[in-house]
Amino acid sequence: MKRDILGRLPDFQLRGVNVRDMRSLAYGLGIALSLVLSYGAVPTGPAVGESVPDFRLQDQKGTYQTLRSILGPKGALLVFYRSADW
Amino acid sequence: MEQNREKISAQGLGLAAISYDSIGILQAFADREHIRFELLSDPDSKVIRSYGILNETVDKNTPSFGIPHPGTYILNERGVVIAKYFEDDFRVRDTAASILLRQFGLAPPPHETIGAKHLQIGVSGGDTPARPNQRITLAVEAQLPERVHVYAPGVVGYIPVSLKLNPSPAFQADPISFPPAKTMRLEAIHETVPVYERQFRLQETITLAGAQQIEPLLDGNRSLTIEGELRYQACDDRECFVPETVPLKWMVHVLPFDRTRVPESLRRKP
Repeated sequence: MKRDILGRLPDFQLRGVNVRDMRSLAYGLGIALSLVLSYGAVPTGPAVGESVPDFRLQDQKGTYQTLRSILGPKGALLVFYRSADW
Repeated sequence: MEQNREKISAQGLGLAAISYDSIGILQAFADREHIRFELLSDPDSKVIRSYGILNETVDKNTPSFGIPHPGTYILNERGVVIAKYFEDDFRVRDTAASILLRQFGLAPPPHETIGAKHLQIGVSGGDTPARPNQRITLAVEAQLPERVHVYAPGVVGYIPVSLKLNPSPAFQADPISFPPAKTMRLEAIHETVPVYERQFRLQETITLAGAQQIEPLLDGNRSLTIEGELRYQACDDRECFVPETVPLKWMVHVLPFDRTRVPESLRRKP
């Protein structure tokens, strides 16, 4: 489903809500301002203080790893990077 | 990361890195670069999406679609984020050494110790080889004798301690990170001043320039020389001494931009 740059769905894909009314309300509440302020910043996922989503992925040897299996007694560094190939 | 794997694990921390590469690519990369920590394969970018960090600005019809906005989460033992390091510029990377220093105060041993007037200075950081566009953290650790202090930023009428790097097109410097100062009451002159005593560390994180810009600035051993100075005014409980300026130097080994790829057959197809 196509989303715009802020990750919002086009109006017609939001079923059951009058999108225009919601927008006016949002403006009234100043939510639009926060949207404008966050525009352009890179999304960085879970915030400090939040739990990260669990996962089950294979490592370079083909062994399955989960969030639990990579966590050490004090926690972990979890790195997301572009590619190991380019 | 691999160079700091043992330090990370000595902290009781796990280490894993997630990308959209196939297991085949990760295997080839791990063998070539002798990587011993977990490289996890998220070929459909499911996990990348579940973290909300899929790079949506990439064209869906190119092989690059599916990459995340790169960054590092520091998690506690329950998987709760305690800090995160993300950069707006997709080319810029934090090095493991820099994260260890900023997050856990783990400075490598000083590569130079200077016996300056009134204090001992240890110069550290930048000793793990880095690549263009990477972020590294340089540190200066000062040891002061008993009853001697230097002034911290914010002091009025005295010279606060400062660390300056000579500007260079080879890097961009963040603002210096100062530790919290101690407030000292000077009864003799009825003044309250911010000071550092005994031991304190100043840190400076820099972002190395891109390959094209940095290459001509390296010497024959691919070393980048970064120079700067520490300025301070030391006082004991009776008098303040003349301000001092100590020249500092770091040599950072800059690796070539890694363009090695896996064989054609293993590469990601659009």
